[in-house]
Amino acid sequence: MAGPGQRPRRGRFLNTVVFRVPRIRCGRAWKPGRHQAHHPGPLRKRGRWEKHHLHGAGPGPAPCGQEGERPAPHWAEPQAATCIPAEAWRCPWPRLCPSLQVGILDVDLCGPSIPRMFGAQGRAVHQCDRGWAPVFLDREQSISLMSVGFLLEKPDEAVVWRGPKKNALIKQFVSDVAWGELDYLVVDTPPGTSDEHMATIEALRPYQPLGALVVTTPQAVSVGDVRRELTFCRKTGVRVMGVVENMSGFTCPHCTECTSVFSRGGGEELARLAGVPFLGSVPLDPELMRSLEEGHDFIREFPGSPTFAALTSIARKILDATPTYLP
Amino acid sequence: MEEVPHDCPGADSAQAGRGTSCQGCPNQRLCASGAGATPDPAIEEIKEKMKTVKHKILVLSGKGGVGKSTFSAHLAHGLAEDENTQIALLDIDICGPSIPKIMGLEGEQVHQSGSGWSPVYVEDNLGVMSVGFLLSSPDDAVIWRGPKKNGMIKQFLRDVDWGEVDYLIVDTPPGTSDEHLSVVQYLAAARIDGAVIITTPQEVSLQDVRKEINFCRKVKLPIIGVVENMSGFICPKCKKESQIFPPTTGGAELMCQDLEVPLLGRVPLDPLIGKNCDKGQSFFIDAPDSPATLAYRSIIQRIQEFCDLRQSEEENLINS
Repeated sequence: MAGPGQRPRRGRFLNTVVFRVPRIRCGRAWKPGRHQAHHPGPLRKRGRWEKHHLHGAGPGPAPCGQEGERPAPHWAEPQAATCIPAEAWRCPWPRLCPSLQVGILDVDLCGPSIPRMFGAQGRAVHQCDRGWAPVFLDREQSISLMSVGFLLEKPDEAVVWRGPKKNALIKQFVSDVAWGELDYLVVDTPPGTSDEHMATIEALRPYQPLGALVVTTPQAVSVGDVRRELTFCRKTGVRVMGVVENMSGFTCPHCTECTSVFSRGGGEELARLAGVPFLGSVPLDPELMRSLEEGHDFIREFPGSPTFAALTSIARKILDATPTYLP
Repeated sequence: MEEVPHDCPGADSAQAGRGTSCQGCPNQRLCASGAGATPDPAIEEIKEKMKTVKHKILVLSGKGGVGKSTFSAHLAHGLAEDENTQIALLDIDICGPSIPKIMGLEGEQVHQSGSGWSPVYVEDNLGVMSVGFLLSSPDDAVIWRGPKKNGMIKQFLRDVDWGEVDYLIVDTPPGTSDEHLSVVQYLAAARIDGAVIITTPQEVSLQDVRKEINFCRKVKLPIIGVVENMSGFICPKCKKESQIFPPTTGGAELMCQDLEVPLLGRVPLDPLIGKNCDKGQSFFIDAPDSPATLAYRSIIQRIQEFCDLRQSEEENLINS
């Protein structure tokens, strides 16, 4: 056991028996394998050296490269009866604070993009005596992921579920995944204010989430929908940590003229009207898009990009504001 | 239907009312008696109502933010340019109703007459219905679970007095969820012409479009084709083309070849599209010569050809 001020010992899955989690059978509520989790509540209460800062709808940390893929078990044949990928863009938290441990929970069950964006598609979820093991991106286990994308038998199978089944899986993601010691848990949500959002908030409420990051594009049509999202946060008692305006301007690579492809300023105006902090604008950057597609580390490869500067600034604001949000 | 337990097996499943998760549910007796397994009478009522609607088109996408509502609105505008054609636009995105804003109908209200709810008319031949018209403030959030959303969609299809309509365009939210299942279920007897699927060139979006195509095949929904939106950007200053959303895996064209679905067209990014949507105007009026306008018109024509072909095939089937 680590002493005060020391990080708990790594390698928490050493000396535990690990069973492969069977792949999901689409069209039916997924149930855990025959080996039940020992500790159903892995998000333990805060101790002196365990800090769990929970986020919703925020940016995700930068990936650290791909690891070898394990073969997928063929358990059963599947029966399938706003703001685009940007809501999961990377955040350079590990670069700013290399000792941080960040988990990313993808509750977009119909369109799980997180595995691809981190180059982790095809990875399997394993079960240990403390629950489901999240997918780790690096040896240091500083970034862990969980998504329904890891549980699908085939990547193109549609998850066609009604609300109650989605709620059940999200609850399992929170209570049955052995997240371990995390500094931040970032939850990527689909657009809207429906089952997934309500289920996530209900599941995370006992762990006192820090708040929600709301991402919009600058146009009035997008801002019009995000206003409802802010009302949703207010009604469900979730603090809004700030608004981020994404896809804010595009600089032509040929002539360096900056064009407001999706208008400009809507996010900042929304934050001002709603009385919430405006965290920053992120410009459109094809290199960021390409990195997300190919699962590369944008932060490492393009440190000179204006997008990198914008993302870093937003990450820094969140890190600096975290102590004020802690109860 | 009252609040259901989180792991409800579904009213039409074999375990309805008998599973362990059903204990304590207020609807347990109803489900156990088999009432949930009988077909919804509303399906027949909707079939009757839809007899006056010639063609029904769903606009789907796997990912959010790809331009579905923009495309639906401009499809409606494009079809309504022919004054002899009656167009109806139905927005079933209950949580994020953007259609009122894009069509310039914010603040309008729905009126009720003896024959049902009256849609809001943009022009004489273009009527719109959305949950946005039923909300009292632009800040109101619709925080509903699946069953309540399904009820709203049922009302839209059953209680709105569309009248004689040539094209009913249904704008859906992203994904493959309650709304999609409900609209396909309720319109099953009324025959949907097909679905148009919108995507951007990136693989992250295409990944979800493949799921959407699989969904359409599972529920036997014909696919009219795929539209690749935000496909290239022409700089207004130097007129050179850039790819803001690079097609790292071949874009929609390669995906369509692999999955054997038609690619209806590619719409380039034009800042004027966003500006016109914000103002609630038709982009075709503001920029009639833009490459995006030409792309839209060609796609609309292909959709019309598909619908006409399906209609003539059905008529041949009936006559033979």
